[in-house]
Amino acid sequence: MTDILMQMISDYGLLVLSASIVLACMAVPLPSSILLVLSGAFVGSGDLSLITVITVAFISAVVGDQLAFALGTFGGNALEAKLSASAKYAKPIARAKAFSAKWGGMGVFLSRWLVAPIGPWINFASGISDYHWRGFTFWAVLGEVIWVGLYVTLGVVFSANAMALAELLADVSWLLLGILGMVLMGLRLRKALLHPVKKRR
Amino acid sequence: MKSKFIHLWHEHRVLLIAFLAAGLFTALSLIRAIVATIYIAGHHDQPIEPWMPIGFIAKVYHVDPDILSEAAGIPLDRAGHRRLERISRDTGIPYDQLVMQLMDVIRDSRRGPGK
Repeated sequence: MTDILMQMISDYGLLVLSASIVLACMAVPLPSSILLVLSGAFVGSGDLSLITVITVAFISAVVGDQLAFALGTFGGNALEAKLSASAKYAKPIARAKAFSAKWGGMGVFLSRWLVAPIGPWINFASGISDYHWRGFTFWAVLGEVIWVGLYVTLGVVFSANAMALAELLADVSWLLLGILGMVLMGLRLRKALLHPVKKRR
Repeated sequence: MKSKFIHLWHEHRVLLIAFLAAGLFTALSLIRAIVATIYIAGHHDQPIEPWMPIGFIAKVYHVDPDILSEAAGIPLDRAGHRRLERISRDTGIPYDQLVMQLMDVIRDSRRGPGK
């Protein structure tokens, strides 16, 4: 997949990088982080311009985030209206909204660059949970500045090993995500052990 | 310990399986990350790929792009940012042969003059 996209970047330029980033923000499985590092490597070899890569990648990421947020908002509202009518879902939805209001900003920020694989889902979830648009945009833009800046710089500096480095970054993202999942579930299991719920007879 | 596990298995099976799956996934990601780190630290050469332009290959192998474009039979200003596969098509040199020619030049260049 990466090879094909890199061929397309060589042939059609940054339009392919832009489209890949926008679609990846909407959960289409495209290796946008790897492409960004490799584009940085192309900057290092003089095949692409630094300013153009940074500008195109940043604008595409912000546009992709906004589109996914809008999808979550408009698509989610209809779904939420349906689910909230049921007493079974009303409480979890309210809880999810409260969680998003409290931790949403940090989640949006970190999922842009540190745990990028969950970024698209955070975009949709932020829209669905009615997280305020200004806050989402602020944290998303801040996160994308770091994502674009960090990944392009790494590509430029380590262009000789860009492919391996890009794969390492993806592995580290998944590793952090796995650790996060283990910690969250581990805490729930610990709670279940310390405070077992007695079954009714 | 065993009784705690059995208790969780009976009372929170789905959560426990998800936790173990996350552990397995994390361990695999860690192994992949370690392998990639060792690879990068070993300064291995990235293999030449059809999508690579001449300038990029020169950067990867730390050689002068001019000698690569010469080996590819196309001046650097004409090679531009075209990928190797297209250069192969444009010059009529089969792709595998083109890669071999480039690798020969890279080896010679690394050996240095008179060695």
